[in-house]
Amino acid sequence: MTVWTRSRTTRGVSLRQALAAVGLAALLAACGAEEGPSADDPAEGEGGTTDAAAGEADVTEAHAELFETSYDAIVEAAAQEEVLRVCSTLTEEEFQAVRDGFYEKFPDVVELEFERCNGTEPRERILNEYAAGQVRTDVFDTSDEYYERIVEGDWAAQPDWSVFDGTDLEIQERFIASEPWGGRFVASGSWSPVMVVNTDLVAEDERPTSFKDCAEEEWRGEFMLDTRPNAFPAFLQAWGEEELREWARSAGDNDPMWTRGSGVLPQLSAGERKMHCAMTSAAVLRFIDGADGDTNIDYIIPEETAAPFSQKLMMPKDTPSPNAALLLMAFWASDEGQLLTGEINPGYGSPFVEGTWKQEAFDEAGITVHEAGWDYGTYADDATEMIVEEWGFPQPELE
Amino acid sequence: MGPVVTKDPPRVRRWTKRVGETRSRWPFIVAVALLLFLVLVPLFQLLQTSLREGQPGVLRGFTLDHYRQALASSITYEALGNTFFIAAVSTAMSVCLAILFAWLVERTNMPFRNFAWAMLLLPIAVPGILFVMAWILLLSPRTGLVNVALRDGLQTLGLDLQEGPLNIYSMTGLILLDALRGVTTVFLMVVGAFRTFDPSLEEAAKVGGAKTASTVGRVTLPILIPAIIAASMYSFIGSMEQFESALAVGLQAGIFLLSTVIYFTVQMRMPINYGLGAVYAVLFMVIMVLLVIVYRRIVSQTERYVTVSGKGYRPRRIELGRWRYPAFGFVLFYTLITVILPASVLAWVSVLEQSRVPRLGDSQDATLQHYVSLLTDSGVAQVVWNTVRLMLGTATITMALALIVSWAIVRGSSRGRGFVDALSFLPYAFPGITIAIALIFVFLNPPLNVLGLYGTVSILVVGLTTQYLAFGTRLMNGAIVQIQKELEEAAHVSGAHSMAVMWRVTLPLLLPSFIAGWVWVAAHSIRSFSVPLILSSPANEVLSARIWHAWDDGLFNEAAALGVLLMIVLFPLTLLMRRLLVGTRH
Repeated sequence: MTVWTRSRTTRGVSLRQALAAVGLAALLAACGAEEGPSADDPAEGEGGTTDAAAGEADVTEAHAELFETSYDAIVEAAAQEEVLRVCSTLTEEEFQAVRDGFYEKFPDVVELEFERCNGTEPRERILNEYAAGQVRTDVFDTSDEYYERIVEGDWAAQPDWSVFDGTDLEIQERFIASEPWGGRFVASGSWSPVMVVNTDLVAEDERPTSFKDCAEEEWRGEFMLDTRPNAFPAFLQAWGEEELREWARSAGDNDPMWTRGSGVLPQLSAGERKMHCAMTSAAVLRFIDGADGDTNIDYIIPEETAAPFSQKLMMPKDTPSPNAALLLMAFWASDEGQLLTGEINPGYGSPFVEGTWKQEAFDEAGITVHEAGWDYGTYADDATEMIVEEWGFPQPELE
Repeated sequence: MGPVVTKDPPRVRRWTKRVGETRSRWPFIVAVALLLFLVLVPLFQLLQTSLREGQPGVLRGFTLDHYRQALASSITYEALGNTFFIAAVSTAMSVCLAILFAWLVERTNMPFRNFAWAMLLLPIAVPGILFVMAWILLLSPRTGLVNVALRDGLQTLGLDLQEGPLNIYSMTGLILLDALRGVTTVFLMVVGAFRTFDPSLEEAAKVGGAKTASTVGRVTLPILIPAIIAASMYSFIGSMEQFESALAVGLQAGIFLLSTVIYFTVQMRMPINYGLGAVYAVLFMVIMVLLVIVYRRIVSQTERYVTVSGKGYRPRRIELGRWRYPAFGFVLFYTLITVILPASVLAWVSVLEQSRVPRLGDSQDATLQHYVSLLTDSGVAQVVWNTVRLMLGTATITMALALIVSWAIVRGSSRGRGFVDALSFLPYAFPGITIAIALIFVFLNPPLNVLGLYGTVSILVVGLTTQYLAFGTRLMNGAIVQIQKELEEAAHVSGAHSMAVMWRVTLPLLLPSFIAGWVWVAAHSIRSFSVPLILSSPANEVLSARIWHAWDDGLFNEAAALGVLLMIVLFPLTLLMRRLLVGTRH
């Protein structure tokens, strides 16, 4: 007689089940990303190497798809759209001037939500979100080195900025991203590197006058140098590759204290070093302002400097508020917006806009200013790699 | 009359039996599937990214260029060499100190031993990033408070130094930071062995005329060497992935470790090279996996050296004589440099009016405005809420998963449980930074990008659960083993299926260990740094990332104030953890 009893349940998991799960995991991972456009084969009608005339036709079409086609219609449509999420390198306080000006001009527009995205991490996050199809930022202050990636990923809208010609939001041509970027970006303000000294340790007549002084023996071991050489790629075209490399090598060998960002200003103020080789004027002015002027930190406008754009604005194609975003970008890049960008922090003003602190200070100092316009993004990467390579930081030794 | 026989044909009976078993086993299947997801999917994504061109979400064709570039670069080997060197030296120092402390509190008549035990645990309450920040303020070569005081003192002796004499931004600085922080972990791992060591061996040596030092060197330590080696390996593995000091101190000194090379390539340098960063992450993980394999082999050998027997004994305490109080003084000194001094300097900076490096003698402008500002800031409230969610989610999910997986491992009869056991420990070999980068790739690329986890607290929970799972399963493995099988078998015989047995019989018995593990994971998730930092966004920023961002922006007061508030939460958690962990051993 066969006996069936309730069997003890077998615990644990069989190897077959485990392997099946492994296979599933591999399948999920290996689904991977869709193939993006290859570097040698940009998508038709986009990217940096297409014909300008064809690009213009595409811009008009692209604009009509997303936006209203007249100024008044844009303003009206913008008032109906959702909250506008803005990410910028400005602090909330510095952006307030732009926000207030925008509301004053367009009282019915949507609410602006602001987030500060300063540095690499937040920008990478936003671009990664765009890549994943998630739009959480409607107006994004990007960076020069991202233009190519944004165009390749086809994430940015292509407005037709001529719709604002003849209005009080007309944008100077220099602030609209020309080819190869197809009008995807507009700029407001500029950042300019300056030198920073501890006035307790550096007398007036001992102050450096040029970035090249960072390679001089008298400053050996006495200065700070940022591991991200943002300030110097702009000099590639002015100095040439050989001179830039030589300077980078000399400065890197001059025993600097390697730093990152403007967070080291308290240490500079305490006397950890006498001088910081290059920092954005906006960061320095922000620090001085934060101390209510009671600080031993001062900036030096060097003999030559650069003026890359500070706010490089784009909007994603999938933003739920295209007209509001377009209006804000146009306002921000217009002459009125340019002045507001530098209102709270003069370090952000453009030296090419009449009436900004920077324009007046640079003119008075009689210095050379390298414009570093929209093509800056095409050579900034190479210049950065050159400099980092000379400094001996993680850098592949390419064949 | 015999038992009732079912009339179903054999095939149906097998199918019915299988369905019944599967239904009762579904939690284990889900748990193991989750384990596989946490461990293997990120690994595959890392590998994929290392072999492809492009960026997350826009990956292109396959290439070996990233590997060629990494292996051809001298910085790779330099970083590898630095990492090994620092980990080796700091581990050696940590082990020596930990053994000394364990011997003092368990085997000698040093006074205030219980108090010393608690003090030796307190460094856990000082998160790594705060520890490093504090020592930067103390030992910066020109402005560090300790250096300023030392130079003043040396000046009275006629020595006029412009900087130093100590420099935190150096290889020595990195080693010391790591060594001091590693002591507690090793101490916790060896102190139990010192406690349960059979003293009759030492007594035999004493009867034979051996002095204390000779007894310790020739009897005690040799017996404990396997446990010490196991603890050393564990500590070495932890040191290999250290990130806070490498980031805050190493970068400024131009010293790259593997962790900062990865961080540099995917966060700092422009243009970002994800493929190269993924290669470094893969290389890092391969090295760590090899170390973990060695560690497990060592641990498996330790059973041969068990001296705990069934007979009862009272541990004999070694007389320290006139060294009793100096010994306690040394423990106090260790606590001073690992807890009191760092906490004090951070507290001082937190009450300075301006955001600057503190100077000796400038106590006039103390203010609580930064605390008021933080406590009334809605942004900070959101950060705190994110941290609470992270803590609760990570601790609960980690321990629940660990419980089920461990139960399947210990009680299961499947041949696959060895594989599951190894898999559950494998995440220990994954440095936090590589887990974080892998998760970027996992949740930004199809198909999992549809879940929308990127940029949320949930992705942090996933990362930290992966990181702490090894601890959870080790803890629960050990706890389950102590429970007699007969209790569960009795429940089975009475008709309960597996889940009911685990829920109603096993879990109540495991509750103390479960809670101890929960508290441990909760405390560590609050102080975790690399995963929250790499995956940080405004929506999911937690305290540790916020502290770093404030420090990085030069907002020393805010960073210090947040750090002080964090330590206020961690100190009682640490003491509670100690009470619970000690309690589970009895």
